[in-house]
Amino acid sequence: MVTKACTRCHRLMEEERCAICNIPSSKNWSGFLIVLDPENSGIAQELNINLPGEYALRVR
Amino acid sequence: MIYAFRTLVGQEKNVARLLARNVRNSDIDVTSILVPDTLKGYILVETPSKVDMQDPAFKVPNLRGSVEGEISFEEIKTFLNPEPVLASVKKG
Ligand SMILES: [Zn+2]
Repeated sequence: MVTKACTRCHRLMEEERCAICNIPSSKNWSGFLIVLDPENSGIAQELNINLPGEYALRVR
Repeated sequence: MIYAFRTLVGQEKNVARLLARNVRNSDIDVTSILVPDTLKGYILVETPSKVDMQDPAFKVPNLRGSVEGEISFEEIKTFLNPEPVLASVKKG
């Protein structure tokens, strides 16, 4: 399974499309972030992430 | 607060996932785990307050203990907006 990232929200997934943004996902990504508690995470806030989950730092 | 933990090189993402699973099943307060590609053999753990490094949640295969001291949020910001590889190559 190839892990892909949404080019808009950076969420990681196996699917071809991001279920939240409804746009194609990309396999060209780097950096890795697990958000557990977005409300109390300065990193999540800096990246405008408000859902827990796995994210890429950069997606092309 | 952000702490660096050493991991086996190449196992950063796996260690981060296992640690995240432990955190979800424990009382330990970790808000995010960051794995920059440029930082081989380390993961960065964000917590809202001081955490007990001896907590069983930190017992993860290939996780090799914390690095002394905290990392400032300013330092972390450089990892959050990595320069695109191609954009940093000058056109000639
Ligand atoms: Zn998305």
